[in-house]
Amino acid sequence: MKGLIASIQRFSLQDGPGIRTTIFLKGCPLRCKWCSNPETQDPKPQLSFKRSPCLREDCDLCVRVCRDRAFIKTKNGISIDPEQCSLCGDCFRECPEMNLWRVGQEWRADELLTEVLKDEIFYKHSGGGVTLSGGEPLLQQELCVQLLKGCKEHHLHTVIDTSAAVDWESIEAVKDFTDLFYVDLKHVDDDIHRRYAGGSNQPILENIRRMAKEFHQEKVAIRIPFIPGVNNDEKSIEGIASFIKSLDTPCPVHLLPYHRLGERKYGLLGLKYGMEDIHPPAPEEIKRGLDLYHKFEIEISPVL
Amino acid sequence: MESTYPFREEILAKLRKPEVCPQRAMLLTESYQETEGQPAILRRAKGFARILEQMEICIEPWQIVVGNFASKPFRTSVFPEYSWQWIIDEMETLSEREGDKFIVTEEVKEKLLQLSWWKGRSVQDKVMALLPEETKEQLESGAISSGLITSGIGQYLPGYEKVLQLGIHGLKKDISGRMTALNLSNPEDFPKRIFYDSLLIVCDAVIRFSKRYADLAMEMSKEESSLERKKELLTIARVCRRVPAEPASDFHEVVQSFWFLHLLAYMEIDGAAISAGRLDQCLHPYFRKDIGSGLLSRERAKRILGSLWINFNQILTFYPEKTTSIWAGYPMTQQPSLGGIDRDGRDATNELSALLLEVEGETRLPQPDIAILHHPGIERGFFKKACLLLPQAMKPKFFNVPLAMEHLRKKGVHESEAFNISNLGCVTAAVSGVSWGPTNYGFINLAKCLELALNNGQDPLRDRKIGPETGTAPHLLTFESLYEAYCRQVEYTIRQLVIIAHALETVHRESLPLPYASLMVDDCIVKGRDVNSGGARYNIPGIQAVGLSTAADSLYALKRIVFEKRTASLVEFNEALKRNFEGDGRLFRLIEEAPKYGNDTEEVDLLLRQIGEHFCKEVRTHRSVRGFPFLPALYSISAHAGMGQSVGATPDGRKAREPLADGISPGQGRCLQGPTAAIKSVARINHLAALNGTLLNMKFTAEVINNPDKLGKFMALIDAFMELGGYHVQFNIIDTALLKEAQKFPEKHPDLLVRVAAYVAQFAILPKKLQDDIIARSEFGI
Repeated sequence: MKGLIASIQRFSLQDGPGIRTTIFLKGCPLRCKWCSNPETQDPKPQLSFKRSPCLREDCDLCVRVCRDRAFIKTKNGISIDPEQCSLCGDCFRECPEMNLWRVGQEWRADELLTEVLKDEIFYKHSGGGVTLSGGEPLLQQELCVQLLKGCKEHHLHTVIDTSAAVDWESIEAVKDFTDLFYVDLKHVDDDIHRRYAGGSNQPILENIRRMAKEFHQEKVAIRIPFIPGVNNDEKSIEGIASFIKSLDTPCPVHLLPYHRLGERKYGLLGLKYGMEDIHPPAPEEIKRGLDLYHKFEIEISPVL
Repeated sequence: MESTYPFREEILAKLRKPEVCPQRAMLLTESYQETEGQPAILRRAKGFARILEQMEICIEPWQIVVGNFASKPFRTSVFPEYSWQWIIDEMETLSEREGDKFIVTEEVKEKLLQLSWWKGRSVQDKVMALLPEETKEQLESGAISSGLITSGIGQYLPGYEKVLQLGIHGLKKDISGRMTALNLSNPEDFPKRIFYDSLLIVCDAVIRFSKRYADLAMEMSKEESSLERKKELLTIARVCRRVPAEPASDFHEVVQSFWFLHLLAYMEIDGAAISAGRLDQCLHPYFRKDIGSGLLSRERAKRILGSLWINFNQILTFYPEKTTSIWAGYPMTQQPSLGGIDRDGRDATNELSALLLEVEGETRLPQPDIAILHHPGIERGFFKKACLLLPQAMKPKFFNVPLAMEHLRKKGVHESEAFNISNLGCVTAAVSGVSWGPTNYGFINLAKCLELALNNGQDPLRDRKIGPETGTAPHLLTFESLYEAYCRQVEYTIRQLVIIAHALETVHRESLPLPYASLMVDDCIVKGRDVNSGGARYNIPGIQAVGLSTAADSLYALKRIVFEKRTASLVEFNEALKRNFEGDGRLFRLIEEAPKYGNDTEEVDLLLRQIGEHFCKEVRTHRSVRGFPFLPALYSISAHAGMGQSVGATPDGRKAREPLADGISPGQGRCLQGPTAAIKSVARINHLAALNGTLLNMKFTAEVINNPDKLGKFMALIDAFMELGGYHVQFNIIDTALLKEAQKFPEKHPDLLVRVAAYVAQFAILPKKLQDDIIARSEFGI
C-alpha cells in the first residue's frame, strides 16, 4: 500500500532526540489556526508555489495554460485558488521557473524505509532516528505500522508526533514499534479547542489519559503549543496543568512557543492565514508562561 | 565574547591597510650585487644573513614574544628574487586596489624602483623564459594557474621539535662534525662543503638576530617607566640571549624559540602556508614542567601564547593585483594542529590543547588557522570547546586522523611515524620536519577542460586553440566519447602544469637553494643536500583540481539530457552555453531538473568520484625533476572564484565567468537535501586517492552551535562525516543575512571574520567577488 507524504526532512533537529529524518504525512483531523504545516492538513495532494511572488514577474504562463481557472492574478502576483484546481499538472510541467509543485507524493513503506536509512550513520552518532509527523500520521495507520516495523528491524529510534485526535486503536497499533509519542495538548476547554483547533478535545484528552496509564512514562511526552490569546493566560495554563497532574504517570512536558515560520506556506497554497494579528511571544513572555506552569507544579522545558 | 587583548582592534585596523617595507629587498639586493659569481647557495645564505643583521628591529608594547617579519609589525617584506616587475608596475595602485591594499610612501616607491636590478634574475623571469608557448597559452586561458611563478614556495612544516631541543648550537655542532668528516677529493663530498658552509652562515646569523632583540630589550628596559614592563623587557632580553641558540629550558623560552624558528622560515622564502605543527604536543613538556614547579601560572602562559598568536598576524602575503582577486585577505595560512593521537594510538589532547583554544577565543584574529586532528577517541570536552569557537572565529577546521595516516603510509612515511600527523599547507597530512613540497604547484581547471572538450580544444572565450583536438560536438555521439574527450583534455592540461613545475624546480634548484629550510627539514644535513635538490626525507610535490563538482554536474547533465533522455542535442547545448543561456528557458529547466552532486544521489556522486579518481591517477603518473611522483589533491583554496572568470557558461547551469564550485564542495546553492545528504555525497569521493588532501566547506547558521541542544548534534555530524571516510571539513558558522548586511554596511562590521578558504580573513576587506562567493554557498539551518 501507498501513503501520501507531504515532505521528508533530513537533518531534523527539533523532532526528537539526535539528528532525525522527519516524514510529514498528509491529512489532519484538526485545523489549528496556528498550524505551521498547512500543506499537511488536506488528505489529498495539492498544488503549491515554491516561492511567491515568482521570480519571473512578467510571466503568466501558468494562468494561460490552466484549464481549471485555478490561478488568480492580483497586484501582488499570481495566487492559486485551491477550490478550482484539479491537479491536472499542466502548469507545473510548463512553468519555466519550476516554481510549482504537487504537494503530496505517494510512497510505499519500503521506499520510505530506504529513504530514512540513508542517514543511519547520523542517527548512530547522535542518538537520533525517525519521526513521523504531519498532519496526523496516524490517519495513515497502515503505512505507519509498516514503516515503523521496518525501522525497528533496523534498530532505529522512532517518534510519532500525534495530535491524538484519532481512535485509540490507531495508537494501539503502532505502540510496539514506537519509542516515543509526542502528543499535542492545546487546551482543556472544549469550546476554545473547537474554536481554534477545529475539533473537539474530548478524544484527545481521553487518549492522553490512557497513554499515561498504559504506556511506560518515558514513552510519552506532552507538547503544548504556547499561543498568545489562546492558551497563554493563567486560567488556561491552570487548566492544562491540572489535567496533566491528574494523569496516572508523570510525563515530560514541552512548551512550543508560537512562531510564524509557516505563514508563508499559506500564501503559496492559496490559503488564508488566520493568525495575522498574533505576534510570536517575546522571550520574557515565554518565561512568564514557563513560570506559570512551574507555579502549578508542572515541570516543563521549552523547545526553542 | 569580549577580547581580553586590548590591542585587538588596533591590530585589525592595521591589517586593513598595512605598509610595504622595502628593507628586506634592499639588503638582499645589495648582498646579491656583492656576491655575483659565487655559488647560489652561498649567495642565498649571505643575503639572508645580511637581512637578519641589518634590517631594523623593534619591540611593540604588546610583544612578550618578539621578532618581526619586516622593520615593524604589520608591514610586509618584499621578495624581489621571486618576482619584481609587478611591484614596479602596480606601485601606484597598491593602496587603492580592491583586494589587499598596501600603503607605499613616496620614499619607499623610490627604493622599490631599484628592484629592476632583478630583471632576468628573478624566478618569474627565469621560469617564463623556460616555458613553451603552448604552456603559456594554457596559463593565459586559465586552464591552469600557478601561484609559484610570482611567489615563493611555502607549504612546509619545519622540524621545530628538534631545533627547540638541540638549539642552533646543537645543529652547528652536528654540521661541523660532518664537515670535518668530508673528504674533499671525493666528488660527492666537495659540493657538501659549500652546502654546510652556507648552513653555518645562516646559523650564526640566526643567533645574532636573536641577540639583537636581546640587546634592544635591554636598552628599552632602561628607558621604560612602567616597572612591570621593565621587568618584562629584562625577561625578553634574558630569553633572547638564550634561544634559539641554546635548547629551550622553560616555557617562555620555548615559545620564543618557536616563534623565531617559524618567523625565519617566512623571512627566507616568499611563501604562504608554512605550518606550525603540533604546537600543543611540542610545547607541553615545557608547560608541564614550569606549571609543576610553580614557575609558570596558567594566566602567564596564556599571555605569552597571546603574544605569539598576535605575532602570527604580522606575517602578510604581498601579491599582485590579479592574484589578490582570488587570494585576498593576506592569506598566510599558518596553522598549528591540535589534538590527535600519541605513539600508542591514545588520544593526545592535553591541557595545552584546550588552553590554545582559549587563547584563540580571546584574540580572534585572522591568523593562525587551527587544525583539529579528529579521531574516534577524541576527548569530547576538547572537541566541544573547538566547536564552540566556530561562530566567533570560523576556526578550527577538522581532519580525519585515521585517513591522514593512510595518506602518510601511501606517501612512504614509516609506520612508526604515521601517528605524528600535522597538517601542512592547507590540507595536506605530513610529519613535521621531514617533508618538502611544494604541495601546491598549481591548479587544474576541470571545468575549463570540459569546455575545451566541448569545443575541440578551442577556448571559446579567447578564440584560440589551447588544447588537443578531441572531436567536435557533432562527432561526440556517445557519452563515453565525450567523457573520453574530457579526460584527454585533463591529461593534456596536467602535462602543461607538470611542465611549469619542472621549470620551477629547475630554477629553484639552480638559483634559489634554501639554506634555512634545509636546516629545518631532515635529512638535508645528513645527505648534505639542499631541500630544493631533494634533501628532504619525503617529497610531496602537489597538483590540485578546481571545479570538480562544476565538471561533474555538467557531465552528468549532458549524460542525462543529451545521451539518455535525448531531450536536447550536444550542439544545442553548445549554442546555449555560448549565449550564456539567454532565451534558453527549456534547456535551463532540463538542467535544473537533473540531479546534482551534494544531494546523496548515487549516480551523479559516482560520476564525480570517477572524475576525481581520473585526475588523481593521472597526476601520479608524472615525476618531478627531483625524481618524485606528483601527488594529487582536491582543493581550490579560493582559486575557484578566479578560475571561474576564465570559463564560459557550463552545462550544469552555471553562468559565464561565475565562480566554480570550491574544493570538493557541492556547487553554490545546490544542496537541497540538507547537510547529511551533502556529507553522504562528499564521502563518496575517493578521499584516499587524493594523497595531498581534500577540502570541504560547509556553512551553517550560528544557531546550530549557540543552541546547547543542537551543539551535540553538530558534533555528531562531524563524527559521522569522519566515519564515512571524509578527510577534512571546515565551516562558516554565520547567518547569510548577517553577511549580506556586512557587505552593505562594512563600517558596522569592521571585525567580522569569515572563512574564505583554507584561511580566515576580515570580511570587510575582501573583494566583492569573494564576498559574493561566500554569501552564495549553501547555508544549512535547522
